[in-house]
Amino acid sequence: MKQWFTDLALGVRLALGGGRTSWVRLALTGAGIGIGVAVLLASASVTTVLSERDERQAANAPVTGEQTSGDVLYSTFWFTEYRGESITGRFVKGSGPDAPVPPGMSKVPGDGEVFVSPALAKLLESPEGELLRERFPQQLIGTIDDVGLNTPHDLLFYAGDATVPEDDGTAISRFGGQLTERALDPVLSLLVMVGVVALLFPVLVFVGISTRLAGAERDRRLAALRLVGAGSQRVRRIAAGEALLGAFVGLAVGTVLFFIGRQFVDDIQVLGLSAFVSDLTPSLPFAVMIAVLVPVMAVVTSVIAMRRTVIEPLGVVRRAKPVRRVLWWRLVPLVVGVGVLITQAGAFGGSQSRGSAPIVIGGIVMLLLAIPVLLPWVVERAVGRVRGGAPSWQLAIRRLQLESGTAARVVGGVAVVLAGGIALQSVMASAQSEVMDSPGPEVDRGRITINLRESTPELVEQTAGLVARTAGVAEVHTLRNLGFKAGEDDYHSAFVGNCEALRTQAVLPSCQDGDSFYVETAFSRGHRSLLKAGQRVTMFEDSTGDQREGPQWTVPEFTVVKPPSESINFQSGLLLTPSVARAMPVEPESSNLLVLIDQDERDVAEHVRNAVAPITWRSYVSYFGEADVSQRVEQFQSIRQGLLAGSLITLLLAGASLLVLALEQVRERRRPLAVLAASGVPRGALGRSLLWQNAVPLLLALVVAVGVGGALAVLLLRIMSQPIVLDWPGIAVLSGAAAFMVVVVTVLSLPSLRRATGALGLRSE
Amino acid sequence: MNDGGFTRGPGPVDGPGPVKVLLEAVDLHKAFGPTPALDGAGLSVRAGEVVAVMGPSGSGKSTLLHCMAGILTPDKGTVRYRDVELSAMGDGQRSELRRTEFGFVFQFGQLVPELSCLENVALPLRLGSVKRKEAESRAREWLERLEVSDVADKRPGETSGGQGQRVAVARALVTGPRVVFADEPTGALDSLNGERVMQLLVTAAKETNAAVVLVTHEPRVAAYSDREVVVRDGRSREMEPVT
Repeated sequence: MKQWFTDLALGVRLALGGGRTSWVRLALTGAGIGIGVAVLLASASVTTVLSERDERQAANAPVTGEQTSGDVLYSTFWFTEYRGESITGRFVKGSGPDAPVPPGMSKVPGDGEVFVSPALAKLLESPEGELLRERFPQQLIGTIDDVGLNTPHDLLFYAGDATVPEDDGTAISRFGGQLTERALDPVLSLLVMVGVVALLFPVLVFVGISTRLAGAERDRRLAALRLVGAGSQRVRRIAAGEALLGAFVGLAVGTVLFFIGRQFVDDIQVLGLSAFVSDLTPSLPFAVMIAVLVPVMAVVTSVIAMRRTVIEPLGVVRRAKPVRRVLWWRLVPLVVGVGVLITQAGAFGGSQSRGSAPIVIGGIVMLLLAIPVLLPWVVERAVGRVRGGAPSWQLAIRRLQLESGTAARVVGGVAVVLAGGIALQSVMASAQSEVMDSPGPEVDRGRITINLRESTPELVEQTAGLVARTAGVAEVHTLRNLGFKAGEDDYHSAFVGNCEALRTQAVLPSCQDGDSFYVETAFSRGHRSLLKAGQRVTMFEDSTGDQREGPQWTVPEFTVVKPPSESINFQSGLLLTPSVARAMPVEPESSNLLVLIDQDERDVAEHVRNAVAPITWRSYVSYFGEADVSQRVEQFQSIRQGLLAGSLITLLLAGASLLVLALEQVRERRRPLAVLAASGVPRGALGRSLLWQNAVPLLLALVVAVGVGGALAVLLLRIMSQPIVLDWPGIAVLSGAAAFMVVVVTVLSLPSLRRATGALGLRSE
Repeated sequence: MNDGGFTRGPGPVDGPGPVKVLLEAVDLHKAFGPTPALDGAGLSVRAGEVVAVMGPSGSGKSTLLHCMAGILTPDKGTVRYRDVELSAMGDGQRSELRRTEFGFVFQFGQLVPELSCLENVALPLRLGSVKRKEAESRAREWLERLEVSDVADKRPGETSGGQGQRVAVARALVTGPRVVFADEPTGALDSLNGERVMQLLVTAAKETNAAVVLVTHEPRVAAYSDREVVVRDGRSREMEPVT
């Protein structure tokens, strides 16, 4: 064992001993692996973020309906919106001094007092929140601590309100419910799988590539050790020592990068999702896995890379012809990947997943793995047939014909990123096309509905008056509604209002007090039985909350009418004029105000919400003009843009490795390059030769990546039973970015080429 | 931890009586692809003698040296060191043989650029589990003997060609090898430095009774040998004794 440590220590000594060059190499390796480790640690924190959020959500959940002898907290849930942002909260009233205090607060707010979340406090204080301030006239007595929030960006409040009804349904005996397991939508979980594999796999490839930096130099060094009598096992251990140092430096750099980046996490909000700094903690098993996996990968990659040198001390290998690569075993990952994914076709198609996540992940990994495995063969065969051309082209091709493995390995990382990106983009494009092809019902942007609970006629009238005076409001109509049951699971609604109000719901041929109508919508025709005049039905006593079955009622004679528009989602049901409603055995407890608005008036919905704010929990304002299909499409687009950005960042990572390796290649070949320059080959020709050396393998990598990425997309879309759509613009962007990257890498390696082709490059020792 | 099974001990060379053959190559054949490098070459080396292997470029002299040192395995023929056939040895045994019994000096590239000259010379000893202080002390003695103690703490890249070669000679001799393989040891040096390196190499080898297999195409260098063997087209031929 002591010998092991001595050999590992010698490896570390060799990795550090070469002066500035060694330190630069170690820094590059550390930075390369470090970036990968930081990404891996962030990914390993996702499970903690979700579980912490779930636990907080459970701890904040109110428990009602429990028998308790102590004080309770009466509460009604309420939500409002402000310029598209949801604000939720509760109006509360303690029954006594020992009423349960909601998590994150020091006390139960008294009547007219409010606790708000830090994000809501910030919004209220900001100039953007000016309109919102009217909705919270209460006295702000504190902010809710993190324990009471799900995410740092939650817009949440708890307001004291003496009018909160006191009954069993509103009495909270304590906070802290059961943790409920949330199952992800199968399609979403599949998307997450593809995302994680496609974005993390290249990171692992990059870690592998970083370990092999300056491989040729290392091979020569280790071969020299073999010459003076180090056995193959010992040389492997020494090489492992070198690789381990790089891996540990990378782990350290990655951990530091992760913790620095983590500080900014609560400032970031993507698609309404955010996390607390403390939540972004890698789960222990994943962290241990990374800490073990990265050094093991580094050692394995390094040992595999030097297998040929180990056999031949001093690398005194002379081969008249390089050994031709064999195809058959390189096809294994491709065939296995395709085969595995075909078995899962349709498995994630419905609402219930029948497929196996590990099998799908395995299939994706195998398909992506097929790229770096296949590429060396493809490059070798492709360049092997090329002849002639300009001197720069000939130099590049001859070089690739002699040794194409390194070039193929370098672009392999880029190709994996591209294939993963192409697959992800195509899956998202298909999902987006589904949304656009089958848009949900249109909404009437010209109307706002205000639902008033436990509303007396006076309150309704008073509220209608307040709303009518609001800027941008054209008309206000009152509709009271009731629910009834015509049979088992056959529920209907009745709306009561004057003819003007009823006309907002249907096209009425004529209308006078005493008339009844039944509005039939396209949706109701397929889903509900048509009521018959004279039919006995059971009324509900509260149409909004607890639906208690009440007295019987006979459906009056009615005329079937159509809604004003079939494309807009109007409700079906009975429309009754006031004198018909008077014969009903129950009084409606809830009313709706139909507010017709001028859409051109800025912030009209906010003004209406502010107008009803004084009646607090009794009102819900619904305005669907703010959320429609185009918003869903926008959401999809933003996810796609996010994924594209992710792919481009990973591509950048691969580009960094390409650059490092291009520089390394120039350094390694500085003598033959210097000889060429000295014998009169123009530097421009050498530069172009360098460009072709990078571009030819990359072009071939693009072909393989588009093929494999497209195949992966098709297979995944079949698994999800989605229409097959390939995202050609996305493919073009990613391919263009990759091509641009090659040019940039070549340009950046030109100064190194200039130095190498100088007189000093001719020095041999 | 021992990588192999070759143990150093008294062999035929150490016994009384006529000097026996220490290292012998018989009827070696070696090809790289379709190109033959050795075509029946042979060579025997006795303890303490300096043998020069001469021949034009591409004649197969370096390949012969690599086969005799156990670096390359011949396609056909045998290499015996102290009556043990090298091809019968495992990789571990051959590694130990190179570490304990053989020393190497090449034209360039054999020093580890990351280690200082002192560490380079001490390396074979340290690989043989000699403690660091002792290894470095012995390495320092050899650097002094080869008149390069002033570069002990420098890296090979910071020394001149002649100094680097002398460090390489020190490293080749530090373990007290029985055979030193030198492949064009002065190829990259000017004549003055080349002469000095050869003087030091041969003197030190004679003092330790080590045999030297010297591959060169320079008659001036070959003049330091006890006998010469010429390799041409992969075949070897003994020359008349040098007078």
